Amino acid sequence: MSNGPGTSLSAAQEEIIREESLYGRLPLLPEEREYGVLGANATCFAYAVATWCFLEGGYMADYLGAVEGTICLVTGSLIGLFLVTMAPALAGQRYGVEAIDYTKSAFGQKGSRILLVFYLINQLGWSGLILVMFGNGVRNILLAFGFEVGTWVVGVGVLAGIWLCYLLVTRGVHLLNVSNAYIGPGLVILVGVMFYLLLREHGWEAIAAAEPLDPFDKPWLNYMIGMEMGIAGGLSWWGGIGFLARNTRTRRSSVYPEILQLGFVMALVCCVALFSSLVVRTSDPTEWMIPIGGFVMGVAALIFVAIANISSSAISIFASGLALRHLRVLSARPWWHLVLWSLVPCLPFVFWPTDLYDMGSNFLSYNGTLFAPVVGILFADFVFVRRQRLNLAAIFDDDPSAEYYYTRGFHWPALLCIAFGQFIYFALLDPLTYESSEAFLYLTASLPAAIAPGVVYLIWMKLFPPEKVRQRRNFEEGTSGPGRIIQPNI
Amino acid sequence: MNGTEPHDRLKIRDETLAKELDRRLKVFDETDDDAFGRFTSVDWAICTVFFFVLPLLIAWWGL
Repeated sequence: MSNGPGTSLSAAQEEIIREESLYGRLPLLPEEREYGVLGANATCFAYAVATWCFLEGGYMADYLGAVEGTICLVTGSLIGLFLVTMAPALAGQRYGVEAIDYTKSAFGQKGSRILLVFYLINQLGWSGLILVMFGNGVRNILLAFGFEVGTWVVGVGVLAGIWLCYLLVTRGVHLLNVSNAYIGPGLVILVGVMFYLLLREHGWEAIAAAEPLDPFDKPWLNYMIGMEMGIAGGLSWWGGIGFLARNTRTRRSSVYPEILQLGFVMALVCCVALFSSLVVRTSDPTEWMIPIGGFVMGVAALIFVAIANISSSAISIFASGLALRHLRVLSARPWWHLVLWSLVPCLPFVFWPTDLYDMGSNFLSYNGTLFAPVVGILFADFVFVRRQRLNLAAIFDDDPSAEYYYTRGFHWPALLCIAFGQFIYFALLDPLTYESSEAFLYLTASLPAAIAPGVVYLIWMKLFPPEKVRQRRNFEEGTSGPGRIIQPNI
Repeated sequence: MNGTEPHDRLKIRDETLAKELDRRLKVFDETDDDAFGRFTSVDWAICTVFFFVLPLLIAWWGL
């Protein structure tokens, strides 16, 4: 590898660059990207068919039956993925940057770290829930073999899961890819067999007639909560979108596979979990496998899902570790340090697994609170304000004169719009108690919380554009801007 | 072990990455926009209709 004329790099320097481009923040060059059309579809498919589908489908069964739940899962998921994909995927693909770096154009160098917090909450929340599912699976396997074990086994299972995740993630992305290569197809077979057994044993009529597990009195409210969960489930892919898009070779392969695989295919898999939960009358996926599959197949499925849970959690932990590189204090630390820091917030799931697991549907909705305003603002910023052009150099420049430095590193109008969007969300729906306003029954909470702050931000930027944005409108310069980086932040 | 080693390593890392970043920015500047593939107004229309408007209508119908 050469670093310009007359400059050759040592092996250590080449290793630094390789690691930073693949697992760090260097913008990925077109020739370094892995995914064409097929690769993007296959990777998105592998991410979509994971154990979080069982969780989401199970939570949906609390409020809706099979038909309405299916509608909410499919339509909500597609809407959420549309909102969350368009701008981040096109920006990430064009400039090879990952999700947090891309947000600096709207939120500023330091403002983007607030999104880092949202991102970590999202990733670690999912990891924790899936690890509890792993713990539940371990307990149910032991119960199936006649060991009368208490719920403390779940906490021990979570701790063991954390340790296994650490081993998997610190061995690198290769091992993660190998495990996913087997687990993805295995889960597809498992879901297919489960669906077949469900239809054979119970028939579609019984599935369609099954009542929700724990609904509210008003059917309309249940339906809208289902829609909200579907949209929020889509929005919770926010961090993954950037991670995948920067690795794609063409714009189309950064958008269509993400929406179709992560939105549509994932929703279909969630539906099988929904149907199973409705028939077996429990939203815990580890409890319906033996009743549906019988002892041998049920236990085999539980063991396989337990392994898959570790793989799914490891993906989230891996993404969290990468995100932590944005913090200067951790950026140059060894990879295993970052993995350890990512796992520490999962520890509460060791001590209160059941309580936190029961709040999973609230967590799912809370993703809408976190990401809906962010998604709306980023869409308005990239599509309408920047006209799909970013200043790549400014993303990596901490100098106060850089375009995305704004006021001491914060772009306050955008940050205030996040607060405005979250206010709207909470005014419409409390994601913890599901107390809602009348307007929620017509609008959902995520859609207004995405659209309103996006519109306000757009109006503000049209009326009071920052000086650098005005300059760029007048001089259509190259993608990385005319100046080089003064104070690199990589 | 020399106490300044980690600091030196960090400095080498920062310098290497800053140079590499600069090189990559030039590559992006010099790369034609079409090299990243096209996403036309037709694509925008397809995505908006099939992944946003239609799902909204179906969701209302389901209500």
